[in-house]
This record gives sequence, C-alpha cells and structure tokens, in this order.
Amino acid sequence: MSVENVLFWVFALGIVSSAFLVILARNPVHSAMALVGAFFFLAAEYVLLWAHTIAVLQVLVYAGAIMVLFLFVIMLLSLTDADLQPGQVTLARVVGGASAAGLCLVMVETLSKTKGAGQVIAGEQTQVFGTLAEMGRVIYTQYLFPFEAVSLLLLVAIVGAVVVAKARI
Amino acid sequence: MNIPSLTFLDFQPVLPALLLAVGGIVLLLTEVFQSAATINRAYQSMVALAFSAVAGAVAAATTLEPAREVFLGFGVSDPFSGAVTVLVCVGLGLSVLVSAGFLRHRNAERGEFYALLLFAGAGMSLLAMSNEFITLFINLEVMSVSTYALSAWLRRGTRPSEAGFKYFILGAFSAAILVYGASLLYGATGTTKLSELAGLLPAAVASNPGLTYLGAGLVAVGLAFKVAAVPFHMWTPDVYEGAPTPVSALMSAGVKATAFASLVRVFLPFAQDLGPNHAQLMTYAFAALALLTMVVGNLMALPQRNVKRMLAYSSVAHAGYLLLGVAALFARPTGGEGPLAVTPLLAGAEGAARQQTLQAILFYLLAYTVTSLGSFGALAALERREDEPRGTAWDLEKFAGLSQRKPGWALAMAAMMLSLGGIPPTVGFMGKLFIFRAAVDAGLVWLAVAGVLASAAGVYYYLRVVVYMYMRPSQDGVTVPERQWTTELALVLSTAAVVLLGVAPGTLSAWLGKASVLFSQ
Amino acid sequence: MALHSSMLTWVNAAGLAESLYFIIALPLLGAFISGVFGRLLGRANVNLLATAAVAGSFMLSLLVFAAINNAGVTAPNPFGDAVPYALGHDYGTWFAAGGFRVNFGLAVDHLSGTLLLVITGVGTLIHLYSTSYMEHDEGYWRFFAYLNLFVAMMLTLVMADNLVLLFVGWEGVGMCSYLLIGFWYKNPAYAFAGRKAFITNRVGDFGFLLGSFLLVLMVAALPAQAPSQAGRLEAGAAQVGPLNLRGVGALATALPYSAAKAPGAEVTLESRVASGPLAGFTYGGVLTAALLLFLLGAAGKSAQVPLYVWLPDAMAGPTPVSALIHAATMVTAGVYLFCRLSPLLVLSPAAMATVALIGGTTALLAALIAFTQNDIKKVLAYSTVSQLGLMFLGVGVGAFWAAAFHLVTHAFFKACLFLGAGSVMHGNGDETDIQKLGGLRKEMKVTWATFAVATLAITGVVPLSGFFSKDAILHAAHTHVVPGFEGAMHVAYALGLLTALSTAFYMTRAYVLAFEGERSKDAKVPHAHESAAAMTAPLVVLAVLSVLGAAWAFPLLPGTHEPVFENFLLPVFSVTEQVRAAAGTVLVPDHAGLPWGAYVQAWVIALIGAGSAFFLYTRFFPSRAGQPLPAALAFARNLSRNKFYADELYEAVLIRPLKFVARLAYQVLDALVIDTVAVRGTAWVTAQVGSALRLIQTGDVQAYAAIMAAAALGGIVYALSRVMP
Repeated sequence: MSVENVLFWVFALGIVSSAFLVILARNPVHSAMALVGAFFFLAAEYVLLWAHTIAVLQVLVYAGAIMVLFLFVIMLLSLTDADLQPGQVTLARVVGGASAAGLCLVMVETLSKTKGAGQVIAGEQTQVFGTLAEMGRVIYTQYLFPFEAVSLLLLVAIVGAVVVAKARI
Repeated sequence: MNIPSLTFLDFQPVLPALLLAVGGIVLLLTEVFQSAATINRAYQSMVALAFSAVAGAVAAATTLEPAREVFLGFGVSDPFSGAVTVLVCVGLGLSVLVSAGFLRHRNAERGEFYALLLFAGAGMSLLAMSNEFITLFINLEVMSVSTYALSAWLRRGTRPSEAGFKYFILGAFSAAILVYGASLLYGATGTTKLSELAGLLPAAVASNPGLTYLGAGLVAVGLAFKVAAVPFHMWTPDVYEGAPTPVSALMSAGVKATAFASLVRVFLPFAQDLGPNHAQLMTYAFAALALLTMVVGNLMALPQRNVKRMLAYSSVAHAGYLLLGVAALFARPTGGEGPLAVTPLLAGAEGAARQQTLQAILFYLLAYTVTSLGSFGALAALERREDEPRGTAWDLEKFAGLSQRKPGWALAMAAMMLSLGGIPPTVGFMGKLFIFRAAVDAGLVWLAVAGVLASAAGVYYYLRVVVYMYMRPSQDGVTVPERQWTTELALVLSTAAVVLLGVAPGTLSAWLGKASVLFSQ
Repeated sequence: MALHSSMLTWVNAAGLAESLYFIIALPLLGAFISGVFGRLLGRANVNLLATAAVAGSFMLSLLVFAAINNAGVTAPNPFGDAVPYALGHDYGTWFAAGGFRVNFGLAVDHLSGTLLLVITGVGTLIHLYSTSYMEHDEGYWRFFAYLNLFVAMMLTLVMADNLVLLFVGWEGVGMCSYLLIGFWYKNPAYAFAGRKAFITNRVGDFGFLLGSFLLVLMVAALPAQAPSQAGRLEAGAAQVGPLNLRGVGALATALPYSAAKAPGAEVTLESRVASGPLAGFTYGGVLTAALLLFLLGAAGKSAQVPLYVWLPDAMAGPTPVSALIHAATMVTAGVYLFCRLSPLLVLSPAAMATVALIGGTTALLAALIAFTQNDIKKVLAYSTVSQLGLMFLGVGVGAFWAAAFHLVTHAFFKACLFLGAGSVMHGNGDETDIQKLGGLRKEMKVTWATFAVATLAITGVVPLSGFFSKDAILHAAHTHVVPGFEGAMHVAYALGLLTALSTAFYMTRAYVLAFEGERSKDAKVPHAHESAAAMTAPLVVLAVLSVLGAAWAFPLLPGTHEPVFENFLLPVFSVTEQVRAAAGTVLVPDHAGLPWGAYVQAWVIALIGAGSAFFLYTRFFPSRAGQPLPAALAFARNLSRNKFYADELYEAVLIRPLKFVARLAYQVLDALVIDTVAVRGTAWVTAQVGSALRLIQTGDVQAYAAIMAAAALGGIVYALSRVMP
C-alpha cells in the first residue's frame, strides 16, 4: 500500500466522521466547526489528486467565507436550549430518512459493482493537472460557454439576493 | 497550446439570449437613475417587451437554419432550440404585459422585476441550446434563481416569501440530484457532452449498467422536478399560489417548456443509441410518469375552489400530457411506420416518426404557453390586493357573474378554459389531438385512452369556472380592479391566438414541423 | 326534376360549391354581431338581424338544394368517381402532421341538403317565434347570439365532408345546447341540468373520438396488406385525409365481407390486421368495435339508452330552444352520423342488431315513462327520446332512408308540438302541468288546431306524415332479414309496435288533458290568451308541413312502388346498397306492391292507442271524479259501484301495472341509477379521491422532499433491477 493510499483512507475517514458529527452534534456551533473539518479533509483529498487550485479554493471559499456566514447566522438566531431539543419524529422525517438511506445504499451498491472501483487513480494524472495555469487555459478556451453563462448566473444571484433582502418593494 | 477559434457563427445562436440579458442590464441601470422625485416606470415594461419581441424575432428568423454545434460542442444551434426560444419569448412578452398592470396595481413595479424576467428568459433560451451537462446545469440555475427571486417578489403577508423559500429549497435539492446524476454519467462514460455521450453510451451500458442507469435516473428526477411531474410536483401548488400571478404564468409556461426541451435533448440518445430493450424501459418509465401525472394532476385539481391552485394542478396535468408525448418519442415505432400516418414513410421511417412526435410536443408547448398565460392573465386582472392576505383573492366565487360585469374578460377566460379542457375549436384541442395521435402512432394506445379519459375529467373543473362566470349571479358588493390596457392587450392577444390557432393551425404546425429537428451526429 | 334543372341553368355549380361556406358564415356572423354589439343594437335590431341571418342561410340552402337536384351537378370524390346529385368543395389542408392530414371541406348531397332545409327552415321559424317568446327577457341578445351560433354549428355538422369537421360541429352544438339549457342560470336546478347534459355528452364524445381513431388505424393498415383492393382508398386518403366521409364508403368497398363471398380477395373482414397497433385483431372485430364506439357517441348526442337522461332535464331551457335543439336538429345528429357511416354499418350485423335493440328499448322505455308525466314539456321530451329510438331502430334494421325520413317529419311535428307547448305556457302564465290546464280548445284556437294536427301526425293517423315515416321503419323491421340476427330483429319489431301503441296513448292523453274538457280549477290564470302572430304563424307553417311531409312517402314515380324519398336518397346510399348487396348481411325484399296490410295494422294500432286514451280521459276519468251519487237510485248506485269495480279491475290489471312499470322505469333507472349513481356518484367518487390526495399536500417542505426522495428511490431501484445483472 503506497503512501497515497494510506493518506487517502485517513482523509476519507476524516471526511465521513466529521460529516457524522455535523449531523449528530446538538450545538449548531459544534456542527459548523465539524463541517469546517470536513471541508479541510476534502481539500486534502484534492491535493492527493494533484488538484491544488481546487484545494486552495476549497479552503478559502468554503472553510473561510461560507463558514463565517454560517457562524454569523447561528449567532444571529441566538438559539435557546429549548430550540435545540430534538424535533418530533414525524412521518415525513422517517420517510425522508429512510429514502435518503436507501438512496445511499443503492449508490454504494452500484459503485461497488462498478468496474475499476477501489483502485486509487492518484498519480495517473500529470502533475500539471490542476494547476492554475492549466485550469485557466481550459476555462477560457474549451469551457468558454459555461464560463460566460456563470457570469450571468452570478449577476442573477446578486440581483435576486438584493431583491429578496429588500425590506419592502 | 491550441486555442480553439470561435467565429460569429458561434455567437449568432446566442443572440436572443444576449439581447434579453442586455435588456435586463439596461433596466437595472436605468432603475438606478430614478430619482425619488420624478419616478416614472412606465417605460420599463415597454423596454422589456421590446427586448423580448426583438429577441423572439431574431430567434424566429434564424430558427430554420441547419443544425450545428457551437462553442466546441457545448451548445447546439438547431431548429428545435430556435423554436423553444421563440416560444419562451412569446411567453415572456405576454408575461411582461400582464405584469405591468399587476405590479402597477400593487405599486410594486421596479426595474429589477423585469430584469429578472429577462434574465430568466435568457437562461431558458440558453438552456434550450445547452448540449453539455455543466452548461445545462448552469443555465438551468440562471433560470431557476431568477424565478426563485421573482416568486418572493411581493412580500406582503407570509405567502410569497414562503413560496420563494420553498421553491428555493426544493429546487436546490433537485438541482443537487441532477448534478449528482450527471457526475455519475461522467464517471460511466468519461464525457459531459451530450453529443459524445450518444456514442459512448452502448459501451458504458455494457460495462457499467448500474452506474449509467443510476446517473440517468437521477438526471431524470432533477428534470422531472422542473417540469412538475408527479411525484415531484409537490412544490407546484404552493409556489404557484404564493408567487405573483404573472410569475406563476411564466413558470407554468416558460420554465416547463425549456425543462421539457432539455429532457428531450438529454434522453433521446438513450432511446436512440441503446438497444430496443433500453428504449422500451425508457418508454415505460416515462409512460408511468405520464400516467401518474395526468391522473393525479386532474384529480387534485378537481376539488379546488381556489382558481390559482386549480391552474397550478392543471399545469401538473398538462405536464402529464406532454410526458405522454415524450414517452411516445422514446418508443420505437412498431413496424417502421406510424399507423396514423397514412402515406407510408419510405426512408428514415423512425426519424420521421420522431420528428412528428417532436412537432406534437412543440405544438402542445406553444398551445399551453399561450393558454396558460391567458388564463393567469385573466386571473391577474381580476384579483384584488385586499383579498390576498385572507387568501380569497382567487376564490371561484370571484368569477361569479363575471360575464355581466366584464364580458370581455369572461370571454377570454372562457376561451382559455375551453382550450385547457381541450374542446374545439381551440388550440388546446389541436394540441391534444397531435399529442394523442403521436402516442397512438408509437403504440401507446392505452396510455392515449387514459389521457383522453383524464382530460375528460379535467373538463369538469375547467367548465366550473365557465359556469360561475356565465351562470351564477355576481356577489353583492364585489368590485373588480380597474382596467389596465396592458393586461387587456395580453388577453386579446392570447385569446386571438387560442382561437385562431385552434381554427387554422396549419401554418404554425407546418413551421413547427420544420423546426422539429434536433442536432445529431 | 326537369323544372329544377331549367331553373338553374344560370347558376354556376362550381361557383356555388365554392360558396357553400356562406351558409355557415351567415349565422356565425349574426351570432358575432348579436353577441358583441347586441346590447347596443337594441331588441328590435337583434331580432331582425338574427332572424335574417338564418333566413338568408335558408335562401342559400334552397338554392343549393335546387342545384343538387340537377343530374349534371357532381361533387369531386378523390376516392373514386365523382358523386352525382351533390356539391362539394375542398378548401385545402386544414391541418396536417406527417402523413396524417385533415382537409377543410364542405359537401352537400340529398341527405345533407334536406337537413339543410330543415335546419335553416325550422330554424327561421323558431327564430321568428322567439322574437315574440323572448319579448320580456333581458338577455335577448345573448339568447339570439347562442341560437345563431347553434345554427352555424349544426350546419357545420351537416355540411362537413370529414369526421373531424363533423366533430367540431358536434362539439359546437353540444356547447350551444349547454349554454341554452342553462340560459336562465339563476335557477341552480337549470344550471345543473346544463351540466348534466354536457357531461353526458362528453361520455359520448369519448366514444366518437375513439371510434375515429380506430377508423384511421384501419385506413392506415389496409393498403399495405391489400394494395390492389385499397388503392383508391390510399390515394384518396393521401389527398384529403383518412377521415373523409367519402373515405368511409371507400373503406367499406375495399373490405369484402368474407372469403366465401369474395374469393381471391387479399383481405376480408375475417382476416387479421398485419401491422400497427391493431395487429392481430380481425378487421371485422375492429369495425364492430369502432361502430359500437360511434354508437356510444350517437347515444350521447341523440339521447339513447343509457345516455338519454340529459334530454328530459334539458327542458329547463327556453321552449324555442327545446323545439330547435332538443327536438328538430341537434338530437338527430346521431341518426345523421349513422346514415353517414351506413356503408360500414351494413358490414357488421352485430352492430346493426345492437343499434336496433338499443333504439327499440329506448323507444319503448321512454314511451312508458311518458305515460305518467304531467309536465307538458317532459311528455314531449320523453316522446322525443322515444321517437329518436325509433329512428335508431330504422338505422339498425338497415332502413336508412326511413330513419332519415322520420327524422324530417319528426322535426316538423315535434317542433310544432314544442312551439305549441310554448304557446300554451305563454298564454297560461307559464303553467306546464297539463292537469292544471284543460279546455284550451276554445281559448287558443290556432294553437289548439296546430297542436291537434301535430298530435295526429305523431300518433300515426292516416294520412299525416308521421304515419308513413313510422310505418316505413316498422315495415322495414318486419321485412328486412339480417341472417344470424333474426331473433333480435323480431324483438326490435315487437318493441317498435308497442312503442307505436304507447305513443298514440300518451300523446292523446296530453292533448286531451290540455285542450279538451273544462278548464281546470287550479289554472294559474282564469282565461288563456292566444299568442301573437309571430308565434302562431310558425305553428301553422309547421302543422302544414306535418301534413304535407307525407307526400314524400307516396310512390309517385312511374313504374315503381318505391316511395319518393327512398328514390330521392338513392344517390346518397348507393355505396351502402352496393356494399349491402355484396355482403348479403341484410336481405331487403323488392317493392312488390304497397304494403296495405302493414298500413292497416299500423293504423289500427294508432287508433286503438289514441281511442283508448281519448275514451279514458274525456269520458271515463271525469265521470268518476268522486261526485256523491244520488242515494235513492240504488240501481244507478249499483251500476256505479259496478263501474267502480270495473274501474278497480281496470286500474289493477291495466293502469296500475302500467303506471308501476312507468314509475319504476322512471325512478329506478332514471332517478336512481343514472342521476344518483352515474352522474352524482362518479362526481362524488372523483371528488373524494381528489380530497384524499389533498391530505398529502400539507405544505411541509420536508414532507415534499421526503416524498421526492422516496419516489426517486423507488424509480431508480426498479430501473436498476431491470438492467443490473
């Protein structure tokens, strides 16, 4: 087992366990911090795949900016202990949980039957894959159309956010 | 480093979308310069209307150009996408007309509203020509984010923000499912381009059937949410009811039409390039979805006394009829010739049958766009701001005796109801005729029978509106909002379209027949 | 006919054919103007405009009718030789999708020409009548707009040269009927009646559409299997579409009845369809299925069992509407449809027997129900259902000309009866209960005279038109032989005879109670007044027509005993006759002589029915009206008591069972089974299911997401189970 393999499993275990913590933690601040952990482990996996840029962006955007937003919202809500009690078990939750678990099972089952699954493909990529230069080249040539569409999406998102946030029209 | 060259030919198909986006930006910019003292917003609806009209005209002029790939295969310019863009622009224009009066009445007219409408239109137009999963997803989001924001536009009472939020959460949920499915398909085939997918699918299905089908299934679920197919329709009534009426109209027409366009574009390779067993499985899957959607949509609409909710469920039911067409599209015609097609189709029988089915779908989409816009428009003309918090703004009673108070509105609404119910001589009847014929052609006779039965049940609740308008005395003390010429223009246009296209659909259906060409390798 | 041809040398037949649409356009324009500008124009102008529109249509119809009596006038026929004695014009493609197309074409032959005259002629009279009848109604402009629209739609139905256009007219008249039944919508019961009519008709329309689908599938499947037999069919269908009415004849010609009767044929009714969705079914089976589906459609529109229930309730509308739509024109659309489908019908004896039995059952059932009705309009409504049943009986036994003839004469006398009833209501404060009328003979002379003539006509008394048309049907039921279905035809004949007897009885009863005897004490107004000339003039015209219509039944042509009308319709039914003769499904005896025996029999039946009713209601019941008899006259008292016993006996043996059956039929079938279970029941069940589904729609986003996830899981697991090894 190569070093990469060992590292992969370590990080993967980290992702899954912190993801469980996000769900199970009673205190939302704890959940948020667990989520930060999951993001960091994911970034590490990206590094293993030679996707440095994405790893950096993952840390900057998710672990940095988005998590700060999360924490702000949690603070602003100023939840009391009563709010943090576990909710009622409703039919919707049971069905939803069961379906989510079912979908998860199906995916695991399918992926495990997939040919080539289980082999670590790290190292097969060239080492320039995932560098900023390479990504820029691809985005500005091949992926020009979706990239420009994203600009429209961002514009719409900004306008939409302003519109929704405006107190009164 | 090879830099691919893009020419004008690549940009020409996105011209309508660019026009719409530019229109939106113009509106955003001019809104900034409105000073509080001299507010004049009358121009805004006209600007939005002009941009959608020009975009529609450009799209119509270039629709019948030969199909080709643009942007290195990330998009395609084919007659089908052109026709869908025209359809979107028609819906957009009518929706803008209805919005003008609606918003003015509520003192809520702002440049942002029209800008978001136009952006949504641009997203729809781009979605219709997206031929790659990432592009498709981004354009779907452009369309969706605009409509999320638009649904929450009016924030008096809890209903609109609840609608916007619900739509947003469930929309994000379904978008995640769609992306997950696309990534699995990428895993199975190694490509996100639909044009390459077609060639790679047989090998992928042979080696990894589970992965391929899981991916395809999740993509289908994501798109089924957008077209509001049962059981992914649950958001529809709540969101349609809470959103401003012109926005509900656009959602029921434009969003649905483009979602259907991408559904067809994504799944046709599966039916076309895999073996007959897979085509059959696809047909059954979509036939089951269609059956469920038709039956549940109509049954749910039956007890509604809230006309807006009734129209929402009716839009679910109509998605069912369209899914019937989609199922027919995926079916392999038996014996190589459509049985209702009297002249034997000599060469390319399967392709010709597909083209006819596609034509039926396009015609139905157009018929539904016009009719839906008209019916929501009449509703928008009638609803009063004061009734909204109590939730009685769309009560059936509000239609009582409308034929005496506002004979013109009542006539327009009656035409829309007849068209939705599929009664001649309206465009709705023609649309149903084409769709059911296509289904029978494809051998889905019993599904067509179920569709006819379901639509017969639907006639009941559509006619109930007509009964109230023409055969019930009006309630005492009921006032209707003042007339708005823009709304009335929209009503006149849609009524004329509903009747004229119902009487003489020949020219349009011939044009749509020519436009029913999808790009293929 | 020589008179006509000389008269018409100045009319350009081709030009006339192209201008056929004017006949429809006139009333359509009238409807538009009355509907949009009616209130501005005022009452007098709307009256004039609406009546003139239909009258103009009548004039044009006369011109067309004269033209088609000219042997040189032919209608183009892409399926074969040009059709003589007809006019037709194809306005080009209406809509097309791929190989399937429907052309917009109009055609008039002797059958539709006759109906044109009936629709526009009776229509004009009824418009004229309505100008007076609706003189106090606020919604006059709406009324005339609907009425004009109805006429336009009915003309479309009759002149359409393909089933799709015919269906547009079919739906159009249904919609107008719905609007007019519910015209006085402020009464919720009336509005309910309107809805009942519409929903019942939608059930029928469903059958019509599916039947058309089956026809198209047959037309599409046949040429590939039998290229030489169906060559013309294929060529014609490519030119004007598979649902053309001429194509119906071409389809019937291309399908021989059996291999035994057409040796060497590529395809017969016994062979199986080779390709398409119908593959595996025999052509004969598909044909019978299609005809039965069309029968469902016709039963809805023409109020036959089991869909007859809407017609009696439809009397909620204004009386002229009942006269025009629910007696003379729209309800006969089913009979017209089957006349058009007659080439196919004679290929399926099973379908013929079904049509005949449905018609006979309807005829008798409705007549029995009419016995106990006291509302004059209800009596007439059930009578209409019964007479329509007779027409279906005629169609079912293959006497198409007789059915069409009865359709025409029925239009005259039933319109006369309805308008007479309207006149009675108008003059008696809207009283419709015949037990509260009486004695009108002296007070409303014109109404009385015309009503009496029409009653005699429907009763079937010589020499009025109703006698001949009804007798033609019964005679055909008696003499036509359908091999394999002789028993069914005997039953149908017996049903027809019983119906004739019952008809005479209940019509005479209604007439006697309303017009004879003394004025009832319960009458709303002390003295009835005769209606205005605008109302009585149409009555007189219709009464005269009810008498003169008989002329068409006389064997006036030299050298044959064929009635004039049968000869007149020969060009229409020539294909049917050829198909019938080749298939041998219906054996029709030659006209050896006039059927004197049948005449006498029918006459005696009519006299028995009418006479017994006349006796019972003028002499018998009034005399036992419960006046205390002089106690001293024991003999007289005994006699009276004996009479009373006789009465009881009579009551027990005849009246009670009759009343019982009638009431049973009315209450069980009509009120319980159909009203409660079928109409309200299905609505209730669907509404309940809808409400139950609503429970899922809680508004809870988590629940929505859960359902979506569960559905996705289910669908994906199913798909994977199909493809995963």
